[in-house]
This record gives sequence, structure tokens and C-alpha cells, in this order.
Amino acid sequence: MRRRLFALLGLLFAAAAVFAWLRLRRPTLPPPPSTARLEELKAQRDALQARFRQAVIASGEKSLADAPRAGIMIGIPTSFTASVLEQVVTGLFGETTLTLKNLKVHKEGQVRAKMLVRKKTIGDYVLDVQIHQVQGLLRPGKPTLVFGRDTVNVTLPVHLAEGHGEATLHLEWDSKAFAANLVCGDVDITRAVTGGVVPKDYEISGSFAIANAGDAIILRPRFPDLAVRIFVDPSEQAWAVVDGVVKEQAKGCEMALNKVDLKAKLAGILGRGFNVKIPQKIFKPIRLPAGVRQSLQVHGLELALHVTPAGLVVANDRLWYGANLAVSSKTQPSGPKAPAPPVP
Amino acid sequence: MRLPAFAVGALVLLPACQHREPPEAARARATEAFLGTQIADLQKLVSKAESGQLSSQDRIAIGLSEETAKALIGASLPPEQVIGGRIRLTFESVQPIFRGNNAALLFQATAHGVRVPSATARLELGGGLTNFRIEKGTLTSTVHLSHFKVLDTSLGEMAGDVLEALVRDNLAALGERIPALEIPVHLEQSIAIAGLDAGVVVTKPGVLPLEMTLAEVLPVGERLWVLLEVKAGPWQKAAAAEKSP
Repeated sequence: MRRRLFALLGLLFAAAAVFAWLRLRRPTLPPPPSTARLEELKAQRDALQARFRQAVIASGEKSLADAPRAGIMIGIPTSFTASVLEQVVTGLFGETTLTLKNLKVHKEGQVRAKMLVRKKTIGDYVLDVQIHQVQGLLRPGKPTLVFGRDTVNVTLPVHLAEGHGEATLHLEWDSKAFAANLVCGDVDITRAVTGGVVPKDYEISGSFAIANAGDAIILRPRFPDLAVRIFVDPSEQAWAVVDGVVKEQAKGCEMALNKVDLKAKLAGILGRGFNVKIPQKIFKPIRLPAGVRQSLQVHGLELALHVTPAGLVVANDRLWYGANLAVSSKTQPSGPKAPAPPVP
Repeated sequence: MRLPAFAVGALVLLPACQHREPPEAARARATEAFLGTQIADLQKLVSKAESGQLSSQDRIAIGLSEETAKALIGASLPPEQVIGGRIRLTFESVQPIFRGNNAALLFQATAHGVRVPSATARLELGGGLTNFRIEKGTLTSTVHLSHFKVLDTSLGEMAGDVLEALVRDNLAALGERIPALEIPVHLEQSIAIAGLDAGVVVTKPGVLPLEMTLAEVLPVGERLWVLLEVKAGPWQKAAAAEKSP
């Protein structure tokens, strides 16, 4: 009886063992792929990658093949670079004022007139104009940008726009000879006048060198100083003042001063203009906004990145910059790092 | 009483009486699956590019090589992790794989028993880079662990299964311990240009604001390409000009 029980139990155990093995065993896997199968898949993947690359190049990424191969590559579209340059250059010039202060112009001379039988000096005049301030505004036009091998050539039309100024006109008239002194005497008049500047167009030509700044692309300006000549334009008020200066004199004197021809003299001395030099340092280097970092902070650990530039390529579609990085751990800024808590 | 206990124990242990698949076979299987995914993803990408739906020309392109990513992630691997109070897990190395429109990461790790340090196992953990984003001018992505494999173990099949279960249960938490990958580029949010005060000529300073947004991530040809949509302007004048010496 006991033997039968053991035999039955043994049978049951064997059945349970087979059942458990069948239910709980790891699923039977098919044979792993052969090396040839994996190579075939890799070739298929690589062919698709090549096709993708061709599609990208065909869509306009012409310079991808010429880009410097490096650990990190940055490609900045020339369209974006042009947009940055255009806006920076026009932005700067749109906020530029030329201000001339305390300028003095001087003219003196003698006036001769026929007195009875011969010409005699009837007086000396001294005309001084003190320009306290005259200001002109620059208005940039749309720049023309041409990308070269490692430069961007820039031509910027600039319009010297309206301005305004204040000046003091001082006239001294010293009558000579008895008759002149009798009819006119001496005149010493000072009047405040206003004016503007004569609008004029200029063209600024120069370039930005595209250079590798170690961790980014920088555009360095190469422009000559720009010589601008400002011509002061007396206002209607100024001419009226000059007319008034003459007309307010006695008749004899008015005739003498008409001989001076104040308006012509004034126009002559102001018409020579004033030179202003716009220094080339008005242009600043422009650092393009994507560059390689020199360090990283990761979980409190500072990693130093040693950047070795690998090349700069200026293509029609992109400015390519490549750099290789060597990573080294610098310091742990906040003392020894605490051990990470165990994963629960 | 001893016989039934033995019988039950034997029943429980029975399923483990199968050999773990050799690491080479497991790796070949995983490689086949990964290549299949790459091919499927590339086919979609190629048709997108060929139909002109992939725009790249006016975007900033940043390309990070597998080698550089390996150096960056490798230098920032987390220290030893204790899992469930029983296993010490150390990340030994990482291999980024930027191919077939997949940004995958393959970590090699070793595990030691907390109580029995001589008991060791070698693991391979796989995952990828996800959630690419720009944060304060930094291009970042999160490391996500999705699977793992115990390659070989001195623990025996049983303990190997226990280790697998422990790692499986803690895989997400382990992934969170791996620092995000910061792509080492600085992305400026504006270009500031100083003005000039040279007496006669005065130019006010200004700022050109920039707006950068992530457009595409393309892990192809052993390189992780990130395309950024970028807009510049309009120019804004700032307060004061620098005084020229």
C-alpha cells in the first residue's frame, strides 16, 4: 500500500515537473541571425543613409560634402548671416548722428567803389559765423552683401539726411574815407541765425573677414574711415536776417553793404563745407550666435572641453565651422560629491 | 516532510535548468532588431526628404559625432549605484550609435553583490536620447534606458534571473541617474553691438534679438544632427554709447 502511494506520488511529481517545465521554461528562440544576415541589414541601412544624404544635398545642402569633418560641426546658413549683418549694419547707422560744434568761419575784405573820378576803398568788412552746433542724421539704405572666399563684401548706401544747427552771424563794417564815414559810419552787428545741412548721399564699401575665433565664427570689420563733407545750409530765417542787417542801415550804408554782397560771401564760406571723419571703428566685430563651449557642468562636475578648431569653410549656402573636443574633468566645485542614494 | 519540500523546491528550480543564451547570440539578436528599426525609420526619413518635406537650408545645423558624444557621456557617467540594497551597479562605458535616424546609447555595466562582492555580472543596458530641447542657450537631451541584458554572470542562472528582475524593476530610476547630454554649443539669444561716442560721430548701441527653436533631430551617418530654426531681429537700440578714447 505504502509502495503504491510512493509510486503514485512519484508519478504525480513527474507529471508536475513536465508541466512546470513546459509552462515556465524560457521560450524557445529561433537561431540568432548569422553574420551574413547582419551584414546584409547593415548594407541596406547604409544604402538608405546614402540615399538620404543625396536627397538632402539635392534639396540645397550643396556644401555638406565640403564641411570640415570634426567632433562637432556647426553650419550657419549664409542667408541668416546676411540677415544678421544687414540688420546690425543698418541698425548702427540708423542711430548715427554727426554733430559739429563751435565751428568758426571768417571772411574779411575791402570794398572799393568809384568815388568821383577813381576807385577808392570805402570800407573794410569782417564777417564771422560761429556755428554753435549743427547736427546731421545718417540714414542707411539697403546694403549689398557679396560672400567671398573668407569675406563678406559690404556696400552700404548712406544718406546724410536732414539736420539742424544754430549759429551767430557777426558783421563788422569799418567805413574808410571821409565820405563813407559821413554816410554810413561803422557797423557792428551780431545776429542769431539757424540752418540745416545739405542732404547728400554716400556709399560705404568694405568687408567683414570671416574668421575662426577658436570657439565660434567671428565677422571682423575691415572698413576705411569714411570722409563726409557736411554743407551747412542757411535757413530762410538766416537769409532774412542778412537782408534785415542791410536794410536796417541808412540808405548810404545800405548801398555800401550791398557792395559787400553779404549773402554771396556767406554762401561762399559755408559752401566749402566741413569735413567729418566717420571712424572705421564704428563697425564692431560680430560673433555669430552658435559656437562651441569650453566647459560643461554635469551633476556638479565641471568638465573642461579643450577645443581644437578643425576648419572653417565659407560656402554659398553655409558657413561651416568644425572643432574637435577633448574632455577632461576639471574640479568638483562644491567639495566632494556625495554618494548617490541607492535606487529603491 | 523533507521529501515534499524537496519536491516543491525542485519544481521551482526546474525552469532555470536552461542555459542563458550566449552573449554573442543575444547581441546578434539585438543588433538585428535594432537594424530593422533603423531601416524602417530611415525609409520614412528618405521619403520625407525626397518629397521636399524636410527643410534644412535656413536652419542652423549642429552635428555631433558618435566619438565626441561618447567622450561627453562617458565623462559624466554616474558613480556606483546600489539597486534594491542588494546589487552595486557601475557603468563602465557607453557607445552612442547615431545611425538610421536613431540616437541610441549602449552602456556596459558591471554588477556586484552588496553582501558578496565576489559575485559579479556583466550587463548591457540600451536606450537612447530623447526630449531634445534648448534651455537657457544650451542644447540638451535626456538619456532614456529602455532595455538591458545580463551578458554573463558568476552568480549562476538563478541569481542571474534575480539580478535581471532587480534591474528591470529599477531601469527607469537608473536612467534618471544618468545625466542629460548637453551638446557643447552655446546658442546666444541676442547679438549686442556697442555704440560709439567719438565726439563728432555718435552711434547708439543696439541689440539684435535672436529666437532659436529646435526643428529636427537627425541621427544619421554616425552623427547626431540637430537643426535649429532661427530668426534674427528686429534691431533694438540700447541705452548708451561707449566713449571713444
